[in-house]
Amino acid sequence: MTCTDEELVARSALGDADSFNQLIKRWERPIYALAYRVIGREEDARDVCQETFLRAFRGLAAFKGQAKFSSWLYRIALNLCRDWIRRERRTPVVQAPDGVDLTELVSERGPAESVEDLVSRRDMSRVVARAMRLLSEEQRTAVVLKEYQGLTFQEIADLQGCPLSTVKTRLYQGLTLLRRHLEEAGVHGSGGPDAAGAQVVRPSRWSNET
Amino acid sequence: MKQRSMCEDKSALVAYLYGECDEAERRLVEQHLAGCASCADEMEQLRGVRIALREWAPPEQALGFRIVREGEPAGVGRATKWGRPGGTSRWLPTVPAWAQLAAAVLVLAIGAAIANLDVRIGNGGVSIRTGWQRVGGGQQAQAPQPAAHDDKAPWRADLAAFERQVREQISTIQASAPSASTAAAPVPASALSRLSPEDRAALVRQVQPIIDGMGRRQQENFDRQLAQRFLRFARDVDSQRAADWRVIQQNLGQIDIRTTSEVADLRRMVRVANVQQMK
Repeated sequence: MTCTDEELVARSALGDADSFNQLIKRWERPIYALAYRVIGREEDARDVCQETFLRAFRGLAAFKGQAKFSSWLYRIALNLCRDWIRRERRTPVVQAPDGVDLTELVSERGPAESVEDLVSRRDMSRVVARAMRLLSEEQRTAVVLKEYQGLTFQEIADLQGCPLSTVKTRLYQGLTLLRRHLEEAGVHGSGGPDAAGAQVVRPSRWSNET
Repeated sequence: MKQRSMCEDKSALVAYLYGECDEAERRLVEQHLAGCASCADEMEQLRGVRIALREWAPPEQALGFRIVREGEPAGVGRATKWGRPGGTSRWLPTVPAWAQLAAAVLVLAIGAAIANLDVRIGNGGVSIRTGWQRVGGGQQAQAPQPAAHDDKAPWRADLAAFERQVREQISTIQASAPSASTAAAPVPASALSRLSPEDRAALVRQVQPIIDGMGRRQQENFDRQLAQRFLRFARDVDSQRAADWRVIQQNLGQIDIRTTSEVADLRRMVRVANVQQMK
């Protein structure tokens, strides 16, 4: 029998670590993905993820169930991301170039994928990651919550503490900026009206461009 | 007028793009898109961006965070690359040996009490006794004798004394436990915490029907006081565990904050070093 988040929260609040560990298992990937996409660094995203669960665990008594447990986790994680971003602004950061490890690529390759496909997919991922970095923190967070966490406008507004209309504006501005950056990087997005999923956009002649 | 406002205010388009608009709004947007090439083109572009965004996957990471109980490397542990829980660091100060011993003794006492449920079938029916029938008696700790001994077997008194000692131990532990504000000293954590609530409930569940069943069949032979004492003791164990847990949590928090900020400092230093190297 699968317990709901709320049942597990109730048990965790009574000191049952196993229940809380089930919650962690359920939510660590989404929280890690959220943190990674908002702050853009693997190790720090892991730290944020870990810290999120620690704070949640320590704050269980304060969680009255007025929100969904996941929303509460998102809020903690986003606050930590914001702290991280503010801290980083004061510290000179040298971004290590993300090298593509070919041996790793080959070993990851599925039967139907050529190495070329994988390289372009990896490149695509990097292009998107780079473009996302150029958004403001608010825009990026809104886009991430919408695109990857699948939250509603209202849920995002609650998390970001802003009106619904602001969420839409952030999304629109974010997507527009992304479009521009992706075009500059040689990605020409064109999904047909019914093309959801049917068309995979690849960086055209990506490797030939500087 | 409507077309104009939709070209300027994009919120309707965004709502349409994400399918978060009602039927009337959806129809309005579609109407607009049919007549406005610029917005229609923009909508296509934004859809393309959304498709491109799907390609951005976070790197595969072995996470496996978990809260661990004392005795294991505690805190929110981190799984190693292979998903095995590995302690990258110990978050809890080592529990002092005497505290562990006291805890072990307590667990042993409970076990012994249960094991010493003495069931007899005779002319009078069925009788049941536990090792805690008699309070008081000698202080010397003596190994329990076989249950074949008669009712006055000295070990019963010994066990009662034993229980008292254990209770005293617990109060000693509690008295020496650091308060929330000064929690920095080692945490006396007892092995009792290892008994999960299910385990304890199961324990009580197992014993209760035996006692109840016997009690029904032969009321006069049944010492209800004993059963109550047993259950009361189980409850005490319960609250002790809860208290332990709270102290552990508080300590965990403080230790963790320290560790996290230390790691952050280290990382910052490495970055500064990198910058200087690049110059």
